Amino acid sequence: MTFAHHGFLYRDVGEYLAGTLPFLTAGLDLGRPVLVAVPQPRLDLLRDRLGARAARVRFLDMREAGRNPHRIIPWVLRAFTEEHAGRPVRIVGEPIWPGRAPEEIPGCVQHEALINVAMADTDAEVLCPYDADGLHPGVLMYVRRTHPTMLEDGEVRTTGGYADPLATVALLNQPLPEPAGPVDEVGFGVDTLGAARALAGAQARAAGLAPERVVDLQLSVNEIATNTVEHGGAGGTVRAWWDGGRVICEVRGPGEITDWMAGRIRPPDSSPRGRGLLLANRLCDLVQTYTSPSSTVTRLHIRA
Amino acid sequence: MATTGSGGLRIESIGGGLRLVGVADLGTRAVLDRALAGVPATADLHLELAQLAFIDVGGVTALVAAAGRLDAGRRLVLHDPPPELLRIIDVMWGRPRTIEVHS
Repeated sequence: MTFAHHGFLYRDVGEYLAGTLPFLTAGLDLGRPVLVAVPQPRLDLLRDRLGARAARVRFLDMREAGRNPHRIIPWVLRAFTEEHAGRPVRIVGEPIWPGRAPEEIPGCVQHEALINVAMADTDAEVLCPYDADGLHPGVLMYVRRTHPTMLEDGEVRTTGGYADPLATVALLNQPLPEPAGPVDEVGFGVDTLGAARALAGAQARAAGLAPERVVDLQLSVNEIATNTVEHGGAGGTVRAWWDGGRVICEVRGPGEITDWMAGRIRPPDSSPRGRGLLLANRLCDLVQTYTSPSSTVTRLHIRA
Repeated sequence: MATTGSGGLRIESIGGGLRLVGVADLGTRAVLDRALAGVPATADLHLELAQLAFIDVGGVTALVAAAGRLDAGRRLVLHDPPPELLRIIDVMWGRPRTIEVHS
């Protein structure tokens, strides 16, 4: 079983196709399950260029499937390898695109680093295209750091610059900026988790979220608050606010996150635990985390 | 069968199963686990959930595990579950065959 994770810098559509199409068609020629998870409009571009062979490829718009970067490993990549357990697979995954919100970038880079840990036990070959002209140099500097190999001039090369994934994750573990506007706040403990759910529900309803999304936010806040009580050993506080486009709920409590795989790997069916953050990662439009020896802060975003 | 304080979870025996009244979260997990451990595996298990105000992922995990402990061919039948229960099951387990929902 071998796992491979190639970075790939492209400057225009021609270079994009020259890198991704041979990778995809070679996978199809080998009879492998193939997944393309890239943002539109390049998703349709690849579908068109694959022609009749596109019928054998799974397509996902990364703008939706990967809108929360911490969703990609469990619910896109590992979901695909687990669906095809025992078979080698090929994946083109483009998690960062020009125009992606700056607040999403640290989580995206952490995600790219953690792929190397979370997917190490899979037989997947993953190619990650990066728009070298459209992305900020501050993003591009992490491509070699998070990919053990690079696709250059049609060849996979070990280029150097790859760094310990957990060191990269730590580098991007930074305090979150304070909200600009007013916030509502409530404390919670093991017997008052309902207060956290009530605050999330009130904020979500006031923002006019659809009833299903109100439920999703309450569920997610409840699970993070539950983790705080279970792993942090005490209660914490929830803050909620509206930023003009999203409802944001922040759960703050004692305890440091030391296992960065939490919320990224599905536990075995027999396990009674380990699904709370996994679910929040699936339901929320963005999950941000800052953890330190004294406390952990998790922000859950649901857009209106 | 068992009760906790306000915001707690009360579980009542009904014909063929249990009625859950209140909230199933970390604060009441032990109450739910105890009740589910005591149900027979030889018959379908009916849960009356119209008065369940909330259930978390851990609670749903306990229900799915209880369904898995039933004898072959027996099912867990959920009556009037709250919306988050179905959301959790659909996302995490994709509605197992051993679980039937009556809304």
